[in-house]
Amino acid sequence: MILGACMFRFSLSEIKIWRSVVDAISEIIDEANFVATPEGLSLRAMDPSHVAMVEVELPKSFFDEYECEENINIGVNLDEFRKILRRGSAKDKLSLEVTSDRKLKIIFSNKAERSFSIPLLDIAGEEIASPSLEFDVYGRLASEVFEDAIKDASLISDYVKISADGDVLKISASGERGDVEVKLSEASGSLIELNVKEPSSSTYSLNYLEDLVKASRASEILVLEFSTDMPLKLSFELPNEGRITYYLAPRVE
Amino acid sequence: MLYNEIVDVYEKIEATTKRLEMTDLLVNLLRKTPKEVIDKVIYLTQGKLYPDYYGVEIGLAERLALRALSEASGMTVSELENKLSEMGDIGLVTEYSLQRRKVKTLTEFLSSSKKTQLTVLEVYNTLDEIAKTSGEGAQDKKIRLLAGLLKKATPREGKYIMRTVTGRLRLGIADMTILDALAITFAQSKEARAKIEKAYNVSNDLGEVARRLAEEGLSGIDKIKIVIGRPIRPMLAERLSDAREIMEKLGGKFAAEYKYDGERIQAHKSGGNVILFSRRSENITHHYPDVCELIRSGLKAKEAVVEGEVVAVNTQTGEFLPFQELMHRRRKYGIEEAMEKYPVTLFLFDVLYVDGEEMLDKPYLERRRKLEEIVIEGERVKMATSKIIKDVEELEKFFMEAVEIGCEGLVCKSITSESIYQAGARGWLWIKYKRDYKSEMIDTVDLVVVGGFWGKGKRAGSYGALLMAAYDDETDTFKTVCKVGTGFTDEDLEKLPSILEPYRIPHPHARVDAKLEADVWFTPAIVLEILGAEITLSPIHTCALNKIREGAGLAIRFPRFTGKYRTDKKPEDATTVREIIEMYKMQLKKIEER
Repeated sequence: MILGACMFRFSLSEIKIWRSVVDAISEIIDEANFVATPEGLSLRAMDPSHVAMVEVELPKSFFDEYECEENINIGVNLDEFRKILRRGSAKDKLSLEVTSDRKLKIIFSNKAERSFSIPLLDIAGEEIASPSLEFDVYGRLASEVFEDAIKDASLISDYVKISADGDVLKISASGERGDVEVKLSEASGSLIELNVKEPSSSTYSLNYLEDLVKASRASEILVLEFSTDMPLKLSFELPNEGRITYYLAPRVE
Repeated sequence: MLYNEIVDVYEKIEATTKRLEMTDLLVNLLRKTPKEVIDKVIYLTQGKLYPDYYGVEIGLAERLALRALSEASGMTVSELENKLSEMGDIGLVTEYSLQRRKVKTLTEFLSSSKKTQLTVLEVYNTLDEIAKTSGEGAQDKKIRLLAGLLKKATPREGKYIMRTVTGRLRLGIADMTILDALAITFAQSKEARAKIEKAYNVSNDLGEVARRLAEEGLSGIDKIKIVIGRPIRPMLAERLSDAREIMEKLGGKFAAEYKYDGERIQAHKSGGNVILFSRRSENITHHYPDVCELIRSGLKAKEAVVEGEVVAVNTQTGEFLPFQELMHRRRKYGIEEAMEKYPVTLFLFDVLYVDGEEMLDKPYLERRRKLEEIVIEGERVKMATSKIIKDVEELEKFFMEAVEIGCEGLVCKSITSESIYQAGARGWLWIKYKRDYKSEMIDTVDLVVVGGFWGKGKRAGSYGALLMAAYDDETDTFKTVCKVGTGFTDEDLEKLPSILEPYRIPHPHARVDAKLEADVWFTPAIVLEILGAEITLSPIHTCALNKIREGAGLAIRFPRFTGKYRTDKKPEDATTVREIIEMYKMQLKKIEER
């Protein structure tokens, strides 16, 4: 075996980006099951109430170094994993290894080399298929802009309405506490791109959205897709072809 | 097995009040239940996840359950609350709101997913996870788990899931009905029914009984043995208030034991580990760390299951305190403090298991002998006082002695070769003989100090208790009526010796009529105001001797000094014997069975 006792390994010079990936996943699940293949690392998971789903795709090119001979599952408790990752500093290089005795080794190297070794979890779970959905609305915008709109809406209600018609994307909420409306368009510079096949409008739970938009820390650009009474898809583009995607079920009036 | 199938049966059971119909419905359910989940079906039907003694409770707070329902149905929590106060049943609210649900799940949009139905196992496992989730973020996790379950549920399934998770599933099925149904499903004979019931009484676990029956048939039942840490359903006593009837029922010769006014416990010991169960088989270990220690050090056996009564005692007077005082020990916090404030003594009366040997089928006397063998008696662990009784006079006398020291009465126990420990059963092998009447005191009385008992520990150098008397104006004497040791402040205790010193005499005063031996005697002079809880018959006090009952006087139970020195009263102005008789008669009440 070329890798000796090590069955899988990657390294990243930027610890921050890996940390934000893990944070993004932990918004909806407690235990994560990464799948490593020779092509790259991925994960797909649904939250316990089946309202939100996260998909992470990190191709080989995303990492500085990536070695994987055969498919392997990497199950971790995200809470503990995050605590360990917090121990790394910005200057450290991060490496992750799976050893043949089913341990996950987390190595921070700068001048000193510090390594943690934690047991892998066997996470049983049903296979989740990737949703193949067609959407009527496609928008690209700065993730910060969307995060702000969601924060505005949460002041007013527990639900947010997202609608698109012509060249305007509207994010609004209303309730006993009042009304709020955020209008975005290419013309005003608040959208990078907007494509509307059909005028669409759909409502989503802010409880979930507030958590999901936290992933904007990982990426400056966000792609938003949806159709009337259909799920909302949020894709965050990471450097070097990495991607985090969320799906969120609608609320039907 | 689909959850839907048991919901069908629940609905039918709810529609009937006839026990036989319920039994039939249960039999139909059990017949189609696979043996792998039969225990879980039984627990769910009882509205539980485990037998009670496990201490895992579902009972999710209504508030949290409604938040989950809000998430699953899309109705707001306040809408749901309004519906709840209108409909009064969280199950019906769930059914209503799920029929109108607004929130979709992602699963509905995933191409590969088919509509799946909830299985019993999935419902059980999710409820189990909800019950066991604790710590940081537990509330949110519980809500998400429940919401996930409700989203997959039909409105009808949701109704029962919500009732179960909030601890409100009340199908009205008695344990005995489940036993009947098990007997019909897995065996037909009467003997089989008795065997199944015994297995239940020993294990306290209908789920396990069902599983064994389903897997191995009747022979599986024989394998259910006493397990340390699993409570045995306690044997209960019948009740009679006539001494003669008791003599007859028990064949003229039997054992009588003091019936202490405390808490009955079943203690399980395995090496250094001790678990205590209440009469209702709840785990109460953490209320009584001191009792655990008594069991650890007071039993020679390595492994044992014994039963006894925990009684609160006044360490100064050695007197028992009323049951209500003991209940201060049943608390969640401040256990250590309560332990100091309300010390207890443990009186052991039965043994069910010793080092690999089951004692249930051994006769009473053999069990008692075994218990005596393994108990190391000390100041705080004792054998329950008992006596072999052969006639009514003996019984009455023993009864009076028991009542006098603060017991409720006696438990009379058969000593024939058939006198086994009938777990879970109330039968005539044990018969309670309780004080039928007591008289509650409302007014205070003024009593005369005629004797004293030296204090111990903190009260060394002062008096632990004073012997108090009422004035008998017919004979111009003072008759004792109680020993008072409570209600004295530290200041009182400091002053008492010097207050009483002038009246100290070496023998009982000529005008004092006492059966008790006090450490110190006084000339009747000092009058104290006393508040008691009740007046009872007593063989050791001379107040009203032979007036109510031959051989008995009257005593004030649980007396307490109010803090008032009645310096305005001469001893002859104290409460009279006649007044105490009057109080006893006036306030005589039937004691309610607790």
